[in-house]
Amino acid sequence: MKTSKKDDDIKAFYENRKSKNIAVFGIIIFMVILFFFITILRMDITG
Amino acid sequence: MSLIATNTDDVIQDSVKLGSPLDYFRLMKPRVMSLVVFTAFVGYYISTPVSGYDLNPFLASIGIFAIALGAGASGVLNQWYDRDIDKLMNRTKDRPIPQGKILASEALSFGIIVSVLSVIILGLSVNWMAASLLAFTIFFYAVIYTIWLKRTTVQNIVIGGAAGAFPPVIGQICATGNIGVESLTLFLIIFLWTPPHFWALALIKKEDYANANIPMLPIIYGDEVTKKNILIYTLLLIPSSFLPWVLGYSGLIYLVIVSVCGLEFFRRSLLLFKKNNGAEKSLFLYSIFYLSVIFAGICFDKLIDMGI
Repeated sequence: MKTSKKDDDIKAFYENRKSKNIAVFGIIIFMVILFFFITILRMDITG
Repeated sequence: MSLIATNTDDVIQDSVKLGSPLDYFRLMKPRVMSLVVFTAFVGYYISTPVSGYDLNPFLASIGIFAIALGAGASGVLNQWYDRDIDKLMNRTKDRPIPQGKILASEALSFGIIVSVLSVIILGLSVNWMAASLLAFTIFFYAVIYTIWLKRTTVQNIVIGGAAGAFPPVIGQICATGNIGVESLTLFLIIFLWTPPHFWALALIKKEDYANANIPMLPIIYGDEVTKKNILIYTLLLIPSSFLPWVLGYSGLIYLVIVSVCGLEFFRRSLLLFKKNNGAEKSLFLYSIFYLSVIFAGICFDKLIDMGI
């Protein structure tokens, strides 16, 4: 019973880590796109 | 070896508890964020259009987004520092950290990263003067108010109220690159609005604040002094709310709105002062309505003025 609980915890740990990594990846992509647009729009203003 | 195994188990246990995106969003105090975004937008809107300073609307939107992030980040840092007292108060015990949904260390990292990101985004998208003031606002709320004033002085929310009053100034700097009298009057209105708003809340949640040992006015000096101070700040707030009309950047529509709402604010403060039970809740709710309506009134007045 104890082992089963630990296995469940480990499974939940990997699932959490995976979803967290996906969230961080999504945020990085969002930032890249955001900074790209900021650069393009700022160039329009100054140029 | 057993120590390592125990620590690994702890890490797994803690990681299982890691919060959902919704928990992180709640950690950012979304209601405060929405008020900050609204007041910053008003500061921006009343300052446009500006000749010789043409800010792309998309960049302005990114700027408002950055201000929202900054407000959220300061809320996260506030909840990280206050995690010991949050669990003692009914009002805050359901927050993600006291509930064990988010680890304190995770909240601290999240708060710092989002703070830095918000300042960088605002600096790159709009200008570095606005970004500097945003950085100062986050510092003011997280360090000056949360860490220093909140637990040490009865004037905590009076001085700390400045943090909530900066967003319209940031909004105006976004729009014009400078600080003008328009946003300074909005700063004054929010600054004077904060004490009646929070002291009404402190009267409602007096036991909560006493349990957490926070030196709010009703706990240190009692209800009567608090009610008197609420009335004094109301009497300072109402004439200050007329400044947008006096200074000529709001018209008759605003004058009507602020006159009606100001009278009602005064009536509710007076009712509270005259020892009316339950009036503190009525004043607290009305104070939120008051600030929202007069700020919306400034925007509405300008919309009409522009012929829309």
